[in-house]
Amino acid sequence: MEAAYYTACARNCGSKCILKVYVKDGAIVRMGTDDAAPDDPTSPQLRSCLRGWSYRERIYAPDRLQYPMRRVGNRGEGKFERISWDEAAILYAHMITEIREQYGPSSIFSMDGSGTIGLTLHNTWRGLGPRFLRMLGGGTEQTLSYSSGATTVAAPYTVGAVANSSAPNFLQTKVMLMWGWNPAEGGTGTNTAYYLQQAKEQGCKFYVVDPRFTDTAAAFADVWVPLKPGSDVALMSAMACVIIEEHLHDQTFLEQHTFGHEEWFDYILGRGADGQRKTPEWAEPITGVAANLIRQMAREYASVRPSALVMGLGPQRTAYGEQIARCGPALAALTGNVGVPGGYAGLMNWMLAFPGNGVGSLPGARPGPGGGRPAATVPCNQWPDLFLKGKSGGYPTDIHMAIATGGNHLNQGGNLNKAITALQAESLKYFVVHEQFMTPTARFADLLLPVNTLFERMDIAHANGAVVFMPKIIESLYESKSDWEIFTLVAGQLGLADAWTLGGKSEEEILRELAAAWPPTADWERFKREQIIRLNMADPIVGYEEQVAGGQPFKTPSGKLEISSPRLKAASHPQMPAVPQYIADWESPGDPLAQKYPLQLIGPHHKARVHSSFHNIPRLREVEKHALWMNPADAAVRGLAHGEKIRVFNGRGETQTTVWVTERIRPGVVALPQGVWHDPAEPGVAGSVDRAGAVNVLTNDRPTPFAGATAQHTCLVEVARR
Amino acid sequence: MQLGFHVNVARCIGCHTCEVACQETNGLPVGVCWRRVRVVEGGAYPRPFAYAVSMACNHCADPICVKVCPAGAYGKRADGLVVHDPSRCIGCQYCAMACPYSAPQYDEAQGKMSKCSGCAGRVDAGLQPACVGACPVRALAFGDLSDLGDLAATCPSGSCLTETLPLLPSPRQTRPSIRFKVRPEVTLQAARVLDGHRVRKI
Ligand code: SF4
Ligand code: SF4
Ligand code: SF4
Repeated sequence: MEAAYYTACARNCGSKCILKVYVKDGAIVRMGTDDAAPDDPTSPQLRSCLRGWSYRERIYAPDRLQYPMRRVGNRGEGKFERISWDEAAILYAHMITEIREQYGPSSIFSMDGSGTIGLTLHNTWRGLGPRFLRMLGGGTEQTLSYSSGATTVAAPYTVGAVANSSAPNFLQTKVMLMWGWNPAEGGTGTNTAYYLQQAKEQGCKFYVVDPRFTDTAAAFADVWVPLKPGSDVALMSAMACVIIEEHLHDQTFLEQHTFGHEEWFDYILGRGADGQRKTPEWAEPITGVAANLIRQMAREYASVRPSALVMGLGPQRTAYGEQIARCGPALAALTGNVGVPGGYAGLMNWMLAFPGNGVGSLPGARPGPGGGRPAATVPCNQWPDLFLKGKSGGYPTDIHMAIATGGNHLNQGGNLNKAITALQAESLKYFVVHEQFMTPTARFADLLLPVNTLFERMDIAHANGAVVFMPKIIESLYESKSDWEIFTLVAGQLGLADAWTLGGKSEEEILRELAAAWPPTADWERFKREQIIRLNMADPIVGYEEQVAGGQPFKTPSGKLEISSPRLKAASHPQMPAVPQYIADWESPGDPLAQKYPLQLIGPHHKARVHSSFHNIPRLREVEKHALWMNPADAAVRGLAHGEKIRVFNGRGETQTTVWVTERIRPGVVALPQGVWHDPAEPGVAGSVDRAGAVNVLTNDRPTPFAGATAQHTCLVEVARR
Repeated sequence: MQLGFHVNVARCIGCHTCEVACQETNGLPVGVCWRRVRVVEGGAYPRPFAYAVSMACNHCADPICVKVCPAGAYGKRADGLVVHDPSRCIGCQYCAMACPYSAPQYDEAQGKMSKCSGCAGRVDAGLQPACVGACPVRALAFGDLSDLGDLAATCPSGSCLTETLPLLPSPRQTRPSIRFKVRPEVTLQAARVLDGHRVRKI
């Protein structure tokens, strides 16, 4: 007999879709998607993407880790021996005890990744790993994210708290500026592209600002604006200049809802310290965008209302990402498009807004009462430097042990070869990795523990427009266990099992109690049966509506949207001025290094992966070739033909891939989608040539100056035939 | 009655979800895609264009596969779906050579052809084809071609529906049961067609 269940995808693409799972004789035989309700335009089905449809192959992938293992070779060589769960738990507990006793609590680092996210119980992202360390009395935790680090720190100086709008909001938008935002390939919310296509059919005009002619540009752009990476603030400043000088700005909005716009006007109009008017002609050589196109975009954005400037997160993953995260909201405020239906506040944090729900959150998963605290915190992207330098590098602690849960940090951060040396540092005594597959990070583990998948354990998902009961659909494969079960075992060794399990509660008991906090899920048996509670998507959520229409203060000291920030003025950080300013990136066309490495490299998301998840699914790899995008002009100079084998290199590393020659990218810029698994010629040897096209052997780990966030899209390389 | 597909080329974002949903629903091995998403590219920087076309078997009114198959493996149902019976197929691949749309595909493991059935089993159970129910932007529809009003719900005026696209063979050959909602770029000179990892220059 075949049975069918619903569940939800829990990957970090920015969306959260519904999956359907057909089971026969205890095995998953087929995947489907949301068909539980008719596809009503006001409450559309939460359909999954191609990755969601590929889960069966992921669950039964031949490279699933099957049993606990202990390293036998050198770190990174990938040689292991099988051990039992009893041995693993004892070893794990010994490692923790030894390190805590010898070096103190902060010397254990939680390297939790976003591999499992958006759930109630089994989250890895800021989830079970940190909770475990807090239960012990605290370890070192990560702050920021690889996704949105600069925005997380910088945007609050302008807007107080980041508030997104929901996609149905765009049905009222007349001009849309999609700025480094690629929802056709990269999620940002279930049904986002569907709503945007409806907006387009209603006549909304689309500008797509991106060095690549992405699938989003192909599907939506009336006008493609291929700017140079890192020049966003110059482009936005020039738009502001046009808008102000042509009196297209919304003076009433500025006066009612913002603070310090005069100082920004001074900067834009050349009355500031640099004496430079930020005209389109000034911006043209910096951005590579023609002055008349800047004028046209500025006029249209400011004069047709409502208009929405939506920034993706790629632009702020650059050297001065902080400025971009502050300039977007300033530009949106200048045109009065903040807090109004159909507008947008010019920034984004990870995904669009969705209706919330009242399901409780796992006690202890956040700091606070009963939850413990971290002993120290460090921005996530700085871990290689932290591991290598510790206190001597100005960090709050030295690190002697790391626990990786749901993450592939080695593969996904800047300067992969430096990260290898960090994982091989003698000061790092123990590296424990919880994983489903033999990832590049897992190869470095001292203790490697097999984790089950979301189909093999119970949970509640916060999907995009629904709350979904996720049953345990099949038994855990092989000897795999959930992170929850693994930590329960280790807690048992440490005499803390009761603390971890909230007094010996089962997973279902915990979930049932959390569900009881919200009336629609309070009837547990009914929720288990019906599985999907849909939320109201029809009424748009408008970010900052309370502030603009409702008279509430922005969460800033002045209560206004602070175009100029008095706090930043007081801090007087040379690279974090009070008003957002264009600062030329390091490793950009003006850098002397460009003589040697003349091409700007960006690492966009690939439609067949979610970061490094799904890399190992052959079917998905067939969909689109992983290769380096290059403009024909750059290929001609190097004598390269489409499909040739190339090497991409700079002072940090070299990777081998093929060249994809295309008119769909700006000359001088190359793009190598992030997320393929690093495959060095010599495993475990830093600097060994990578054969997979893994972008991070090239990227920089130098953090942004104020937030300390990742700036992986600020990178110069050269390309040659091999 | 003639069942067929409506493909909204103006809406499609080229995500390949329909293709993978078809593979999963029909248990197809890697490399066998009954539905394929091909991307047509042209223009030159800074004004390139690209659009995706999702196409499977067109369940033609005059199906050449039915005519050329020496084993009688193909049949046309009363609802117009063209179905292939693998138990009769001898793997000669004549149909693949004859079909102007490359719909029949060779499954090496089975040594036989296979092809989109229009999800005949699902249709018989009152369901939509899997690809149609999977499309995240609702660019695909399926139904009786004589009832295009429903199929073209997303098309403001029926006049934007066409039977074919510039790069496709003449519909007179097999009278395919497919209608497209086009976008302006389809009239421009294309440079190449991307089909998975393959690139076909025009
Ligand atoms: S598309 Fe090809 S396989 Fe399908 S009915 Fe027409 S001729 Fe036959
Ligand atoms: S109708 Fe069914 S068999 Fe045909 S392409 Fe769609 S999913 Fe595949
Ligand atoms: S699923 Fe829809 S949008 Fe995606 S490629 Fe297929 S037809 Fe196009």
